Amino acid sequence: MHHLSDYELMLLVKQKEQEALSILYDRYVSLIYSFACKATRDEQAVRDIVQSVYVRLWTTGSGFNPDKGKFTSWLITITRNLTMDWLRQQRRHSNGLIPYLPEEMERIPDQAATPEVHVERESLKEQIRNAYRFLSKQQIELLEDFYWRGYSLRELAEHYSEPLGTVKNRLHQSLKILRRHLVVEGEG
Amino acid sequence: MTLNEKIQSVCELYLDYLSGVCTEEERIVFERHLPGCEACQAETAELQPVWERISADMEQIEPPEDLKQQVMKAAFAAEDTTKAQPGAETNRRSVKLRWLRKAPAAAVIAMFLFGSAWNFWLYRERINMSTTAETQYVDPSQIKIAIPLQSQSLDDSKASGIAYILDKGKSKQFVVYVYGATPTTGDQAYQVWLIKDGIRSSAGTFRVASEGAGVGMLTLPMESDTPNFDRIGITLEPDDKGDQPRGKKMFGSV
Repeated sequence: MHHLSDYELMLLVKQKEQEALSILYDRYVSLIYSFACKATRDEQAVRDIVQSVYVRLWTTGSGFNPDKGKFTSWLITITRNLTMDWLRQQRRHSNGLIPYLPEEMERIPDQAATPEVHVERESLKEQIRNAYRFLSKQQIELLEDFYWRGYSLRELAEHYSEPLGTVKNRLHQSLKILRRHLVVEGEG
Repeated sequence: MTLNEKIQSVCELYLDYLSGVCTEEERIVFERHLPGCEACQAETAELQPVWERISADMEQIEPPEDLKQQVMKAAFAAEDTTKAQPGAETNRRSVKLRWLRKAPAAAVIAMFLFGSAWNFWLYRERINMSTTAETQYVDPSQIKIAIPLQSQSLDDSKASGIAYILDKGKSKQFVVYVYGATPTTGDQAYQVWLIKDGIRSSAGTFRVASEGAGVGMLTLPMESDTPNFDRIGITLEPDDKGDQPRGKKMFGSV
């Protein structure tokens, strides 16, 4: 079963083939785990998020459509939604003030992914970091708050004391700048 | 907030759509809008891949060994829970009204549902209770039939809507959703009419809040598999008590 594509595995998951979910765990757990670590810095939350993602794959089975994009993009979308839900819940419980401690969790390099996968992910990371160099400090701050910390644009407009339209426009510009400096698949 | 900000055009949903902060209904509205809007198509083609690349900016961290067992156990147990509870209570027949607000409310509900409360969600599913939250998160694969609704009012020419039938396994729901509609004031209410062989019957009413993007929604449980109507009409009524249309027609099925 290990040679099957992600989509084929998802079809098996839909038929309640436990082994298929287990393989998808091995393939992607480090991606999900790393994402949730970066966004939450809370080990228990990360464990819960990973669990929620796989529970969701198992119980809803059919959501992935290969015509609409890559499996990893779809998986990241689910992971991000669950992570943002957790962050917003934390903020609600602490009246919007949560300390953000960048290096709280111990970082252990990921060695379980195959070397090829590891190299590919490192290369993607390099590319996005290079593109970030073309952004202003303000633009980076917006992307961090919006993408990784789950604030809505409306909340950020209030936080930065700026009109919503200005913040929207800045996000749009930031994405356009990244677009210019990223090699998008199929163009490279 | 100015009036202009309140009445956003569907195009302005783009960033919300891209970043996933829109409600499921807004997503449906936007995806219906997309094939007919070149500007939004160009934006999507250009920025979607960028959005997906942002996540690459993270350290790769190896999860603890014991996590797999915990996760697999929880996943397989979640399935058992849903299987072990056949035929729970039936849906209450009453028509339910609810309003969708913009992202903050949806976010609160979202974390309630999916944050650390997965078991709670399963519980809700099991006893088949209708909650506001339940309708916010729609699995696209559950949508069986979608019927576009067009604005019939010149004042609301940017408004649009959709009616769809959700197959949630044990239960089916009929959902009517409008976007960009004129807010209701006082006792005013939108009333949904189902027309079958020329005979009109009321499916229920909903209101549209003055804040937000003119979003209104009606959800009701369905008993039969197929909808028992030919057309859908929505009128703006002076109150929610009428059994025949008195107000102006605002939306109709295409």
